[in-house]
Amino acid sequence: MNFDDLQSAWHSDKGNDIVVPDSVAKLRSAVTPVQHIRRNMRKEFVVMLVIIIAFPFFPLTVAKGLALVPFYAMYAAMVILTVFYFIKFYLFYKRLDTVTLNSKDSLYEVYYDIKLNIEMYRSFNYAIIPLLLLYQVMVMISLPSRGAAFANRNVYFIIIFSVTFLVFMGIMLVFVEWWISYFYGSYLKQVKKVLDELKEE
Amino acid sequence: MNNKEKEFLELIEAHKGIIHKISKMYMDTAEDQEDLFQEIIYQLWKSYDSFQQQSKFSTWMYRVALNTAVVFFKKGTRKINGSATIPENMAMEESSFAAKELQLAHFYKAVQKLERIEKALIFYHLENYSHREIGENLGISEVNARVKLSRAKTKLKELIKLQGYEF
Repeated sequence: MNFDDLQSAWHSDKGNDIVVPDSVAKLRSAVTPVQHIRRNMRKEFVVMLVIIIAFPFFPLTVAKGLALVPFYAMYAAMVILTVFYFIKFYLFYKRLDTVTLNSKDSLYEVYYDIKLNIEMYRSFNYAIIPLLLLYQVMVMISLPSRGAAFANRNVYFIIIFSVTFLVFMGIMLVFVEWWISYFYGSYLKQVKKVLDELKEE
Repeated sequence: MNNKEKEFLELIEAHKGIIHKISKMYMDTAEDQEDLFQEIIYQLWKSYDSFQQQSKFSTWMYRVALNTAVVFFKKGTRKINGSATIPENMAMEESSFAAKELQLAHFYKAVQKLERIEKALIFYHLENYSHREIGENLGISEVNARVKLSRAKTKLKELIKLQGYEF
């Protein structure tokens, strides 16, 4: 066989027995990196929505006696942050459609869109995690025994409290980095590998 | 079904063979090939509005299909296991049809081991695209397309020889 034979065999294969779905509604989209990211983003959006809806009832049910003004001020900050980032994510979500460009441009668009989205996602988490931890602090100091320890400037208690806060913060941020690299970073690497194949020689 | 969808499905029906061939080049199992086949048609439908009769449908379709295939990753992390098989009884057949089938079987098995862009280069070559056209579609220079295609052809040749088939 040579390439001419192969070309002739290639053109003789018409694929007449292939069945095409009889309506576009029957098409099922599968597993491109972009689809994976969209799916993950959708799931995370739903989780965040549940948190946002459930949160205002917190001082009325679980943590009665919480100072309401600071609680709702922080809640408002959380809502603003979430809305801002999710509008950005949504725009990214709508934008990802670059298959008609030439391969190199299409890959670059996908690559930088994923990269940008990862950075947005990272900054969103870095902004929201301290806020969530501050909520925790607020709940803790509102408990009568803990509140008294703060009011009395119990140094030992405050040190333990601060260290715990920082450790939790560290754990959350390590988790976020792992999450990003597990769910998003792997796609970025795969797309980058394909892009590298196009480099000039 | 509206007219646009009807017209689209007619075009797909006329070109389904080439979409299937791309799927077979990029995926090695029937299940993954079917997934990619559907994904390509899905992406073509999604971007169908961008095809404004400016170029031939096939030219536009090749670009969308290959761009979809190069970033299409299998479910999970299964490795390529070379599941494309060579029909044994065909080796003894003398007919031209059987010979072509055998050549294609060797080709599809070997092509699984090429990199994603190498597959695209081989595809365009088999579709008689010039180096300039290949470069335009991939977004690389004509010279780069020539160098990369030549390397991909050599690699493919070696892979087919390794299967014990003369090339």
